[in-house]
Amino acid sequence: MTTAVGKRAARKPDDDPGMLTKLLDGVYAIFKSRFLRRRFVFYLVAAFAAVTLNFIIPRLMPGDPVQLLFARFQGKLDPRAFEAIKEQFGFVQGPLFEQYLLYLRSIVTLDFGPSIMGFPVPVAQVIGSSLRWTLILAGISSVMSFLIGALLGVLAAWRRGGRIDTILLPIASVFGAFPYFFIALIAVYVLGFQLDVFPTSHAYNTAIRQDWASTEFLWSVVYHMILPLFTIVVTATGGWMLGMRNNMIGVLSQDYIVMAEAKGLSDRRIMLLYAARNAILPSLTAFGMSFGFVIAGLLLTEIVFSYPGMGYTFLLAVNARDYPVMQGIYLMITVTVLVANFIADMSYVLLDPRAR
Amino acid sequence: MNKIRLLSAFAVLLLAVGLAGAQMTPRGGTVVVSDGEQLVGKNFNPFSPDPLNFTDRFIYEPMLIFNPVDGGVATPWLATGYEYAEDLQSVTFNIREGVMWSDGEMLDSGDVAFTFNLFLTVPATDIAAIRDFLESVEVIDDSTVQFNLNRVYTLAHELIGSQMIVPEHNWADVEDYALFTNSEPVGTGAMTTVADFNEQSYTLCRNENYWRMDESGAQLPYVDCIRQVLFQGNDPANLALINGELDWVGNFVPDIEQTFIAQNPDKHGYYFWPGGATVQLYSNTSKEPFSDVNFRRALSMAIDYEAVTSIGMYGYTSPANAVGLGPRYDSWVSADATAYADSTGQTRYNPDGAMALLDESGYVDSDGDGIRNLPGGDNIDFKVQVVNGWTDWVTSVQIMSQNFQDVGLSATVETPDFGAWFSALQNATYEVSIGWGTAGNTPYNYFRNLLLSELISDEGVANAETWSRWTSDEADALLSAFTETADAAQHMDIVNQLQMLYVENMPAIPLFPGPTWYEYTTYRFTGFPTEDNYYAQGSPWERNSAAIVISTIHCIDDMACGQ
Repeated sequence: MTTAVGKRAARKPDDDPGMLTKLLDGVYAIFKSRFLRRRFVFYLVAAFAAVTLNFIIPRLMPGDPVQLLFARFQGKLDPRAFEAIKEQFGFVQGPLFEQYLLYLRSIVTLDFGPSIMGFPVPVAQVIGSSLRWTLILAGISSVMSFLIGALLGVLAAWRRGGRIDTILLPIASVFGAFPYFFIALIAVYVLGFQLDVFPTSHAYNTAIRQDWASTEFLWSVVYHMILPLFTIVVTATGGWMLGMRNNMIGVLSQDYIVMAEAKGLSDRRIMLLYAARNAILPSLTAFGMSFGFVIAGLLLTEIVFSYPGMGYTFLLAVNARDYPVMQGIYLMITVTVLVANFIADMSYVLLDPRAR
Repeated sequence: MNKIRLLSAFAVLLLAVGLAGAQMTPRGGTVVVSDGEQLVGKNFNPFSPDPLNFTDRFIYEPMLIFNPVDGGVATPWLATGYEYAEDLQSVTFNIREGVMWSDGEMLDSGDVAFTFNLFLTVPATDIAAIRDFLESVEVIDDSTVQFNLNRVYTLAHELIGSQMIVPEHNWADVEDYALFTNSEPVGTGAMTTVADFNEQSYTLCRNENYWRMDESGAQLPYVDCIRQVLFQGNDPANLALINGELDWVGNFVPDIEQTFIAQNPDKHGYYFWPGGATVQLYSNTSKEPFSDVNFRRALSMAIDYEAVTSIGMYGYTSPANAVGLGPRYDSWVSADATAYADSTGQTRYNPDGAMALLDESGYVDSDGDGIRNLPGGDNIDFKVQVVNGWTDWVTSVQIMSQNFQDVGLSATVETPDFGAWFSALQNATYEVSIGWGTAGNTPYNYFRNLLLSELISDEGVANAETWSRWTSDEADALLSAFTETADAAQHMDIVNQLQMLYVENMPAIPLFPGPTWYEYTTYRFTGFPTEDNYYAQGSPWERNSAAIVISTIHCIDDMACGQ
């Protein structure tokens, strides 16, 4: 043990400049890369196409926002109020091309104006308050399920046929194949309702004030997050675990692993620094991509646990044909997915010289 | 000296007697409500299309309150009364004296005139379409306002009396009324202080200047605050209700005796007063065979109404009468129209009668495939629409489509999403669909929204509930006649004739009076309406009633009062 530590410490000064140079080479390659320049143009075109589709698709749905507003009141809003509503909603009633130009301007200025379902509350406010909770819950749950899944996948591959591989992996896969809402509903019913161990709804106790400096509030946030987090991690871990295990097995058959074993390196060092470090690359790319979809929200989690978030806001917006809110959320998804893809492309250039 | 001591002793005695005599109602506490509100956006502008629910009659108040259980009789609120002029061309409201805004200013006729002038001058605020009949507003004196109408319109007092009155001193300087979100409201209502606001709940607390007092002279309301909690749909809200986390709810709860009452029969209560609008089965009379009244009549005889209400609606309501007027309008039901319906046998379950009527009207199975054919030869094959996820209605429609199949019609259920469903009804691209009706102070609104031809736009969009597209000059004339007289006997006569038109022509098939969803728990508060003491509609989303209920309920013990 002590020698290993000593060796590593002694070797570090030699390694570091080499690593840095390599990294700089890579960054230089990214800028020089014809591949990436081509990709960048592709992304610009893709972004424009996506932005235009974001405008068109909501408007292809039957039903228009003003009519649906009346529908929401189920006859309690007099049809004669039509004129007043039209006056207020002038911004979604103009000619389509004019609306499209306004929409493009709103993307550049990032000002989507007032929402329709919450008129005249601005889109930024409608999205903003729920975005925070989506980022917290989705961020923590995806990082957690990725880390746990990857680690268990590494261990399963390392000891193939061991207990993790033969017992835990099938269990995790079964949970992953279950419909999510089923597990969530059972968790709410058993743990939340029958045993009354966890709260059944909301991101924190509604009786206390939202104050990020108060420990009572923070504790309430953590306490309310346990059940939703648990259900997401339980269902999402299996996929990462299986992927990681399969990658690992491929890597473990490589010559350099045999070489490392022959050199007499410790098992842990081979497993984590030689095998897992290479095997995790494809999973990391997939993880980056999956982050884009996280923005769309964990709709089912939000509905089952009444957790504030983007998914439900989006659903409400679709039901109300609230074009501005839908466009705002679409734009966020589009940008996140494109950026995640671009980062994945860059990491390919960095890692695979053939792509340069 | 002695005299003073004696006097003060006497005063103490009086005070003690007074305290013992008047039972003090306990004060304080925060009522937790879920009335189905789902969207957060800090908007307390009463003239925007969909402000936060508590804006209406908790923060701002109207001149009159129309309690649904009072059969259309107005309760004086910010006005002490109203009177139409002899020629019915104007109506005068007397504004209550001594009402204070939550910021300490006094309410006067200027505020009322300001509010209505806003509707007249800023079209975007006229969400109730007041300009349709209002010509001008005149301040007569500090407590009298005269509304001049542009025509005789005897429903003017209902619409004028129901508008939220806003303070001139607070609203006159608003730059853009359409975009105004009014985040710090000043109102005359019982709950005007915005104590907390976030993405899953908001809390309003009492208006220290509130004008209403109870009989003992104590200021209302008894409760300190009211919190609206938002849920992502019915199920989590119902779970919280069953858990006793909510005090006052207006949700559909399936199998409520088992799921909710049985959990704690002493503390859990509900009453689904069947005073809501009548739910009806609409058919598109611009399409064959629905254009034939005998076909519609046969449909109405094929439906097993008992099964629909007992299975689809969990027995929460009972089959409608032939004229589609619920128990709320008992005094209006026409004997002639009822007798007519009895003679034809319509809207009563009678599959044999339905089949006989179909045969007689030429809808027979001419090609022997088990499905009746149109006289032209095509199979009678239609879809019955219902909104996806509205489980009680979906079950009801499934029963009805089975009923239609039993009489030889090929009916299938279709469940589009809300937007697509509504668009199909409005644009006549549906065949048969279940849908709501309109409730109002009188049956006028129900018939108007169903029959008035001008509600179908020039582009062919069917507004309100004119989805059947059955209109007639006679109905139009009756509907306008109703608004041109203030005479109760004439109103009754017109509504009789409308009912006769309804049963003769069957523009819709009445299914059942809508149950009004309302549940409450008494762990912390008491005084909610009960079936025996139904002083107002219990549903928290019925805002007229909510204004009454909020000043009636009170906390039950120190713990609840301290919350």
